[in-house]
Amino acid sequence: MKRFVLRRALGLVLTVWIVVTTAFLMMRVVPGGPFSAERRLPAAVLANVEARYHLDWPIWRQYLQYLGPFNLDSQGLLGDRERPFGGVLAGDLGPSFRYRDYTVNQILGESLPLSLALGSLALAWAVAFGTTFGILAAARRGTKLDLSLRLVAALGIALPSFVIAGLLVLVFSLALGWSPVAGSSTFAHFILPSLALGAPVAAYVARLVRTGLIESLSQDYVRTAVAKGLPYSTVILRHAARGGLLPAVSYLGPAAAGVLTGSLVIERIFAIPGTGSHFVASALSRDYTLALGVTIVYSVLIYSLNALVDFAYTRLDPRIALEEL
Amino acid sequence: MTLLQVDNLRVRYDTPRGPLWAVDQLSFKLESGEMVALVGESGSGKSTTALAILGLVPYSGGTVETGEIWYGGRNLLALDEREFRKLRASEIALVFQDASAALNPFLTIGLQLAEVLEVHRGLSRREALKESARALGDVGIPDPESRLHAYPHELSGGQRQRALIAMSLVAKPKVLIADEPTTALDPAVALAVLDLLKREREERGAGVVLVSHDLELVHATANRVHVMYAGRVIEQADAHELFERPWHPYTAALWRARARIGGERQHRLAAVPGAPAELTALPPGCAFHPRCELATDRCRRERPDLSGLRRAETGVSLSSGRRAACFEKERVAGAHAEAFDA
Repeated sequence: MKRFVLRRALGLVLTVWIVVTTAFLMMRVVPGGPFSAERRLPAAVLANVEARYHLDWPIWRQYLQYLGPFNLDSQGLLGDRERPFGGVLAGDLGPSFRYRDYTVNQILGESLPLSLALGSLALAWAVAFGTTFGILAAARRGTKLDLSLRLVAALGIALPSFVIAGLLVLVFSLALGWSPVAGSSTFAHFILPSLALGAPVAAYVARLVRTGLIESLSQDYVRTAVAKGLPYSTVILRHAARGGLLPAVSYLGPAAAGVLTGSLVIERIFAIPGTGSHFVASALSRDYTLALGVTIVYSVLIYSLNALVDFAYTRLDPRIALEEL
Repeated sequence: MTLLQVDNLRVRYDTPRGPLWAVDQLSFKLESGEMVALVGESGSGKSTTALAILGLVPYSGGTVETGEIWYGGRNLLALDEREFRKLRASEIALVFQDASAALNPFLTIGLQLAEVLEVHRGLSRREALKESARALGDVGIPDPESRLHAYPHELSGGQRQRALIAMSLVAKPKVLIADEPTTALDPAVALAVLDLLKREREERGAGVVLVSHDLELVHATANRVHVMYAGRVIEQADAHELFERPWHPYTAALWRARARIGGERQHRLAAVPGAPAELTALPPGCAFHPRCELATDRCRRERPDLSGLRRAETGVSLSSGRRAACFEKERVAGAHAEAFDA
């Protein structure tokens, strides 16, 4: 256990470093910069602004400053003599280029909790509905129940989330009045958006669980369980489910990272100021630091969740030893 | 006392190439304390018979078309799934062939044994585990208490097979169906397993249906033998009679083709000539005739039924119940009698 955690922690640092470096360089290769918008700035102003954010430095120096944890600026960090250190390693993701009065830490600190809350709820739906429906469909394979569940799952995958979101709002907010239309002030505000966000994930999980379970139902050891005279529910839940859930578990790792970091579409529709929009906006507006910030958050999440999946595997399948991962 | 009686069993599988009858017109009886063997090449229907007795044919995608399987005054094939479930493992148990596939890799050995007792005997988990440890000890697994917590992959191959047998015996079933129980084992372990089955028969009067292609094993352990070919019994007899003087050319060929350990060194292993019958495209007449040296025109047209010898002068004693499905069985039996006399 200790070794596993240690190795994964090391792997995380290494991975994030590579991601940061690559993303940093790629951002700079893309033409245009944070201040080259439609409205051209006078040359002198541009030079001033760029000097303030050290964009006039050679790229290796900018990179070192960004990575930290130290300050290469003799004037103090962004002219602030009180803040001697900066950089990712010091936990400082830098100032946003676009939202002038905010740091990336502040932006993420406000938006990420909302996206995480929304995403966790969506995941909870997805796992609960996905596994239940998947198991039901596999257990009643070939029946009308199976057929209708598969149809619903196909719809969940095929329908774009904004359509599902629209339908949910139409029915539950406007027609029935059970739920607020938009906003993020109470728990009730999160129910509809999380359902819309979790629907495609639930559908995928249901399909994976169904196929996985059908596959494991054909195993010899499941036939043994039947030959032992166990009730059908025990055969399914105790003997077949474990092996059948493994594919869904490995899908859930990366899927969770995607859901937890927020969805632009869902957050826009329900007016939730989450991280989702920053992913798109920061790249388009060349907000170097914010784009790198969300990239770091995403890579940390995806790496940790994959480690969690590996850990879950060892819990589900005793043949996989934690020490070997 | 008759424990189990199978009458006229017929099992159909629908395949993309048409229907096939994996078992056809099968009848046999199992007495208390007896071991009856079903012998044949793969595809002869012996494993399907084993599944049918446990009501697992529908589970494997087949249909029992006709037949009755009598156990304890009830026709098992007329039972509904709930009633049948109560009999599985508690009255009639199946020992599967390949323990590494038949044991659940995700669950501990202890749980896999204990759940049988929980379901059929209503024991608590604790009592069931205690009983399970005893069952593991009975099959010769050392330190059974600690093995309860082991997963199948943590046991050796021989121990896995023993654990599987312990699982089949844990609820003390009256009828034990053993599908190639020793195929995957080395000879020493195989002997121990056979010993165990023998003890069950002698001490508790359990009956064993041994499904096997290992003729040496069958010869040494079974009381009566049913030789199957293409889903039908083509010869049935007491074990020692059958191999001393086979009546059916297929039985004779099988016996010649067996691998002998410690016997005379053979340069080549004799094989039954030709390929096993294709069940979706059985030849007319006797299913074995394309591979048979003695085949006549009649064999190609007409299918022989099981019957006794017609003449007594062949020198073969007519034992009760001995039968073969062959028009030329007198010739086969005679040839063996001559070879025997000479």
